[in-house]
Amino acid sequence: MYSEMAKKHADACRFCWMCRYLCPVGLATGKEVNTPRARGLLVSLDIRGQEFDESCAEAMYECCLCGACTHDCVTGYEPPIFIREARTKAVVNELVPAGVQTVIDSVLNNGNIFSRASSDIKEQLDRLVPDRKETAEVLFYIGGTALVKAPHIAEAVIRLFKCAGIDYTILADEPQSGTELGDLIGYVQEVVDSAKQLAEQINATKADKIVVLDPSCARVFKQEYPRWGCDLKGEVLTATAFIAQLIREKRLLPDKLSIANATFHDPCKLARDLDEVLPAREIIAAMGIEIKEMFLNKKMSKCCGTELLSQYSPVTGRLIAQRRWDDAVRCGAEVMITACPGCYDVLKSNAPEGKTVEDLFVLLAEACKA
Amino acid sequence: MRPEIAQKEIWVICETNDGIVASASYELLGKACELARGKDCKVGAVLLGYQISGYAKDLIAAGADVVYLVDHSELDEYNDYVYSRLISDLVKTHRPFIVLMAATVHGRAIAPQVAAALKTGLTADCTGLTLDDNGQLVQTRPAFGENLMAEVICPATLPQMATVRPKTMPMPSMDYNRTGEIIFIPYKPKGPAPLRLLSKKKTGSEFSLSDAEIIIAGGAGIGSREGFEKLKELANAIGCSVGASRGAVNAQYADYSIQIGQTGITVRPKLYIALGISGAIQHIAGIKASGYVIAVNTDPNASIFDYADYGIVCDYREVLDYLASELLSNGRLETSRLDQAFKQ
Amino acid sequence: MRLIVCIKIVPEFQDMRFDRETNTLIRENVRQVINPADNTALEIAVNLKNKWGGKVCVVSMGTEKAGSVLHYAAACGADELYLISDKKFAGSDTYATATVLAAAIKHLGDYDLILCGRRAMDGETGQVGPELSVMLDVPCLTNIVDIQKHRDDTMLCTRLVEDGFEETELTLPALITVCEGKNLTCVPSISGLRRAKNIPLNRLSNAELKLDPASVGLKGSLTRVKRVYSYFGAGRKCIKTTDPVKGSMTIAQEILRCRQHET
Repeated sequence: MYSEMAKKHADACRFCWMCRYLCPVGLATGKEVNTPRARGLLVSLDIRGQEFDESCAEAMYECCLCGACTHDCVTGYEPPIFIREARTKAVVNELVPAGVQTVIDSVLNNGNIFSRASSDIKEQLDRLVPDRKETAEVLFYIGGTALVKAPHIAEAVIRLFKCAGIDYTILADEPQSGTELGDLIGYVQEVVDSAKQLAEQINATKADKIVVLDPSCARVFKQEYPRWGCDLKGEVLTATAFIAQLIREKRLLPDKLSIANATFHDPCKLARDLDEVLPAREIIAAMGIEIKEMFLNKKMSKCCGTELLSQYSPVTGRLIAQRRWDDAVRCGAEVMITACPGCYDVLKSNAPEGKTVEDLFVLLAEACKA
Repeated sequence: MRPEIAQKEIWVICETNDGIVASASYELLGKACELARGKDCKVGAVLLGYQISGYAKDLIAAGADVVYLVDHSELDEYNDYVYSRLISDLVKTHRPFIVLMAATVHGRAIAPQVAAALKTGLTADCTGLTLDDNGQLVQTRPAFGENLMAEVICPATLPQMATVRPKTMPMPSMDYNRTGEIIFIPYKPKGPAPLRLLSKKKTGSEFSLSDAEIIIAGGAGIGSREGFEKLKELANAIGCSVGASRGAVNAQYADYSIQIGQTGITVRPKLYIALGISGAIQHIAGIKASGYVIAVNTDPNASIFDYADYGIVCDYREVLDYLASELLSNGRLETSRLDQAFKQ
Repeated sequence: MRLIVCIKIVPEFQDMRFDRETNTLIRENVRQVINPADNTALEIAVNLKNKWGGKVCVVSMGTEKAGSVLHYAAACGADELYLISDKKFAGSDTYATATVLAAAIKHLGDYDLILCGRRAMDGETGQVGPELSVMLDVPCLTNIVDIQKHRDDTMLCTRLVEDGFEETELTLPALITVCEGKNLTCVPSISGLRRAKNIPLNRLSNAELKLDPASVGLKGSLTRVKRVYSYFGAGRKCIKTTDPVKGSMTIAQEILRCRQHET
């Protein structure tokens, strides 16, 4: 059932155990089963004929797929590859934990992970851009998380577009990108099919640039879509990279904001997978904000717990977010700046007394008086 | 020569394209003639078709000692099924000890069917052939993306069969003073064949890619369909063929039929110009046999440069625009303008 | 329709590296995959089945290792899997391979259409399909990019040839070889994977096929590899420029030189 690639990666472990100091889940729960090494071992045992049961399936879902473990693995192997395939196996064998199944059903039925009706999403989109155009130079892809949990971030980006005179549009009813579904059931045909549908709609806008707010979606567009044969005609850019370029071109001229004791939380997908750690810091510097760097920053960033895991494992999700806040507090930060709607919502929901979370684009819109 | 081979013939099964003998067949006759030199054997050319007897003198001029002609209206259409069975019968009757065919789409379909019917070995896509003193044909073919070469023999059965890549053997000089025998073989139609050609659609460029002398190819870096159209315009005006990398085909800038590489067509032009192609190993495998390779890419570290003779690190559009403005006037090639440019 | 797809398991080309020091292929960490053209053949067969009903039967000759890869064929829509594996078959050339496949297909009974890839990524001879067709005495069409049902027992095939496409009518039963399509790898679906769980991997060896051991494997091969040597087309040393005008001039010059050579 596992691909040759997954087998190789699962069997690669040299038992150095260093990944347990990087895995946000293991660090939060303190359980050995919540480490990449343990997940690899479970898959290895499965390949050797040991039964893959509900507890194994559960262990596979207790993972943010944040990729921290890939960054410091001596063998250079990537646990997310076999964890994704193990999730496929769990779905095929109907061993998926009930909470996860609810989220899968929600994505399949509603196109989002929050069990929110797709008509609500459509309303939100209509509200954000009432005079939507069919085609434009820039397509703005917002993503379900921002639409449901943090629409004000999307709003801020749109205000920045207007301020810089960007010819933009959005999709009428953003179908899901396959990002969350791919994390939930693995990269199977169902995921590729939904990706193809979305790619068709995006291409219909004839946009040269596809600006993506959610870093997880941006990663999938850039790295997985070509592999799935979904050709996006426009160039895919993260919102941070696109906005940073607008500042460089002086099309956005932010004033200084006075925010003291701030830190920046690198979204895993942005920093680790897309190698974008500078654009966000450029934007922050342009607003005259000085940041204190947290322990585990940039490419080594520690995951916030993710909106997805928090949906089906709220208790674990909370523990992970709290551990990230510990890092922020330890460096003396009062304000955590984020550049991802998911990180924003998760960290905000778990902020300690007196600490706040600010979104990068919302701050910039304010600084530009957009 | 082994006794069972002495006095036997080396056969070239000629291919026609729209009723005209393909250049690859002449190349093979030249090669067969070279193999037969100094050995106790003759060269036979086999030509099937309709109203083709006029070509016999050309085949003799190219090196055939005997020409076998099967001329019948029902052979007008190049039908793999009919042709392969007819060729098998001819080989069974006349027993040549070597049978060569061009490694074209049709040749590569017919040759294995003939080999299987005759229960003999066949080597595909050879680039080199030698004949040792025992009459053993040593067939050289590239393996694995042309990094390795294998020498293959067919030691126990006859005839020894090979398909040979077009353009790998030189075109022989035609000697119309040569003499040869022409044998007409009667053809009895065998009723309707289980496959029938209904129509043929020729695509875009008249120059077939695997035969092309100059190829301009575009990759994902071309960036748009419009960009590819511009590339095509220039190529057509200059009279060279257009190719595409898998990246460009996947991005739907170009049609699969012009994809060059491991999963497309293998080419061997004298000049290969790669625009916006990064140089994936699969693509390189398809162009390795090219003469001079020029690559244009914005990324100075693109791997295409490792396989190129000349590299230009810039946007392909600059090159395309320059060539269009300097080489063409009213959409046609003006070589005089180029000469002028050089003199300056 | 009863459709038979012949599949070869090959090393993934992308994983292959060439050691320039020793002039050998590095075979470590190379995945085994379904040959890309065979994968397209499977895709076409599954589409035909979905449209016209029937069964897709996958036949592969190879080692036991191929078995786990064949599982993906079932997940992508194959109904029956047959792995032909026997030490006696090792070292087969195209003729001996076609002999084994022909015996296996005869063993499986009637069929309407056999689909093969037009060539394998590792051997690249493209001969097994046409040879197999003669051994089974059915017509063969190579390089197919599209196939549709025409009349009851005929199919309409689009064939890729050097200068375009040929539309050919083909009477069944028949064999076609298929060009690589856009999707070079098979992505299974959850429903396909669930279905595949119940599809067993059937094994065929010479005990069932009863071929003369002298007609298969290395013994049955009619061609022999005399020697293999490494070869690099004249090592290219790239002269680079960043000046588009100078570069374009060189291109023009080379085009002109080619042209003059022709005339």
